[in-house]
Amino acid sequence: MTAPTEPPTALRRDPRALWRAARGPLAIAALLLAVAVVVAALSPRTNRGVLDPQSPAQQGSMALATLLRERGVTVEEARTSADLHDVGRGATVLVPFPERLSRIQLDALAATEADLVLLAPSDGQLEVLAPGVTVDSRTGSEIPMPAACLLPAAVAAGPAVTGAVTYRAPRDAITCYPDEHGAAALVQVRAGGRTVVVLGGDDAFTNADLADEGNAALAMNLLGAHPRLVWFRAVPEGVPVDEQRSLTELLPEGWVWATYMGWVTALLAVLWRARRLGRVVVEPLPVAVRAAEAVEGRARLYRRARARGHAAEVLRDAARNRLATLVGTGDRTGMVAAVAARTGRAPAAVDALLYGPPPVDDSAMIELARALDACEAEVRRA
Amino acid sequence: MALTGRLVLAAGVGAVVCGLLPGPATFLAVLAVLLVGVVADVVLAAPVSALRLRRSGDAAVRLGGSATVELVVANPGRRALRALVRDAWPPSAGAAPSRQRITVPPGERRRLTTTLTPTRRGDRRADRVTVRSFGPLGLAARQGSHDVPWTVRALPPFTSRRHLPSRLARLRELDGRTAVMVRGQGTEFDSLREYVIGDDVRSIDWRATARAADVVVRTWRPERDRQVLIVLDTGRTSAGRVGDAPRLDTAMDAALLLGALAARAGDTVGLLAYDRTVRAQAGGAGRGNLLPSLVHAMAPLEPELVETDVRGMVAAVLARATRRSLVVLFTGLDPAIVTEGLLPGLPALLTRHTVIVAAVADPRVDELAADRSDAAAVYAAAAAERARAERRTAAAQLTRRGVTVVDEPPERLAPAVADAYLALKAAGKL
Repeated sequence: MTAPTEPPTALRRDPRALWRAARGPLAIAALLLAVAVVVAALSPRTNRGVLDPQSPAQQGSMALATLLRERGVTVEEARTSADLHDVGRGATVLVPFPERLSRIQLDALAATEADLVLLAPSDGQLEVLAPGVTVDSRTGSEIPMPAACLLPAAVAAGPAVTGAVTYRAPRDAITCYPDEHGAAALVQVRAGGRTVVVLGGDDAFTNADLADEGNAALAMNLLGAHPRLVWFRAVPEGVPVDEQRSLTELLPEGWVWATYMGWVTALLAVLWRARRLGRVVVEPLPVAVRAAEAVEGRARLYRRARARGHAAEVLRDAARNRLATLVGTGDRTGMVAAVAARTGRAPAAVDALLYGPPPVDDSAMIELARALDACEAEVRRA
Repeated sequence: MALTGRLVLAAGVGAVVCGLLPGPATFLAVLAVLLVGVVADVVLAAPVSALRLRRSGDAAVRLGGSATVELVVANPGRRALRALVRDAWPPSAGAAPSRQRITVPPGERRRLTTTLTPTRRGDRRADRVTVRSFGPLGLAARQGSHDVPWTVRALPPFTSRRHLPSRLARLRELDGRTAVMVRGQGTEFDSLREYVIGDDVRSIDWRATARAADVVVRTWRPERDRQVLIVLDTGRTSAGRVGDAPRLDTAMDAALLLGALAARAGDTVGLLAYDRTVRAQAGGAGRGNLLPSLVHAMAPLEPELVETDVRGMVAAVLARATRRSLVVLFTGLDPAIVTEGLLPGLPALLTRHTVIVAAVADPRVDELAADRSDAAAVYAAAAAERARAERRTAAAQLTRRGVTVVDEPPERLAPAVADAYLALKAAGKL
């Protein structure tokens, strides 16, 4: 074998060029990371959500919780059914979202002997916590209503915004804020040896609406009846923690390792397809403009300016030029006479066509253009 | 380095193995097997940078035809090269196949053939050759690029070639004819022959008649060895697309027909392409080489988006055409070009040369001018009539000064220019 005589053509990658190409994206990624860290560090932790006693947002309830604390009520938060174990008589439990409670949490609530305040519960929860009370409608009033009952808390508060849901109650219950059908937005029943208050909405409890009408007084009276208030913002919980098992524990063990290997396979597939066979070749494209573009642009200008008179004059001028070569004379009288003679039209009509006033509107201009064509065609035929 | 589909397949099989024999040990074992395979492949693959690549093949092809370019891959190493090779060309080069598999045993060389079918005129430069060299297991590969320069020039197609035979026939008629009985500019003495009835009595050569027994007339023929200078304007107006092609391409086609015809007629043909500076020059070569040299000079020309410096163009023409010439100017008939550039420069040109101005007319303008369907169409017709009037005025201004103006749509431009040339030649005005 003879040694190849060709000069080496291989391209070597310059580490400095690689660094130059990579540093831009790396800098952007670092910047994004830094911004994310700073934002996460600086964002207030108190802004947590609707009816949160620590949230100063519009829909939070920090104002109400603060007022209650100033009155000497201990406000504590409960998140799970386990937190309710030590709650008993002499406390009030506020349930902002009864519909989110699981069966276990409902049972735990029912087991406590504390008084309950439920905000807009549905029939499912009412069955467990306040038997006999049912939902009447979900289209109640959003405007303040008079109390119209004997419940001291409501009477002291006066008119208040109670919310959208109204309830039917058993005879022995106290109903307040009734609507015209006899359903009530606030129901107080005695069930299982404690008092349960069902309220049709949460408007009276939010920072935004607390100051309206008697909202604050109603909320304070309902929640401040006992020295201890438990704010039960339940987190989802299913089976007790010590019995919980993760998804991976439920699957056969082989699945887990096969899935891990599947992820590795997917990663390899990505790397396989992502590697290009050489760089992208750029096509040096030539300049290409449609030559008639300028003419079409000028036509659009005429049209936008509604330059009918100008357009008609140009068309007439072109027609006159062509007719002049056909009939052999270019002056006005001579041409009109010659065209009239050849076509048999009246000279006045020909004169109006070729030298007349500008058209009054677009349809007249179209007519004129077609008439010019027709006249020219007649002259050619003659 | 690059991974392969086979590695992904192996990893998929590994996932099944992990499912059948669960446990971290299996998982790690599969990973280790894959890793060892990849490392072995990368280490054992033939090195790419050591390859020696060389090109050969066609350097030019007429647009519409195909060229073949060969790439010889020599493997001087000790390991066999099993590779996927991509010979990269710009898309308009129409390269096929774009990637090829190749096996080169150690110390040998293999030839790869790429067929190029360019879709646009001009130079097409090869980009890099990228080689992906697979290892013995086919799980991973080394990858690297070589820069092996090559250029294939796509020449103008010369579609107006079909008009050449008829024009050559006319030329032969012209040459053989002794109709130019009167001596004038651009004619030369041809021969003496006997008088026949109908000949102009003014062409009787009395001296020869006295020597001979019969009446003898002198005949003249169009002068040969005249100069023809073709000037292409590559400025803004040449970029406009009329029909399917830019004006420049149409002008090139007409220029090629004219060049071929003039060369057969025994004239010397030159080419000048100009916008703000000289873009290309050709000509002065022997007759046999004229057409190739014209075509090669035109091939890389592209329209430039600049206003043509017409005065500079006239100066360049005057500098180039030292003898009396026929100057054929392929440009636009825009009023701006004609009144501001051409008219001031014309006197200098016309005192010494004969000038043809050839322009590509746009059939689309005629279509617009005839449309009466609605208001927008009539406005467009007015705009088109205005454009035609401006063109006519510009053409009339040139004609008045003694310039022959050819303003034809693309498909008729080339024969029309050839006819104008023949007419001038027949009239002895060259």
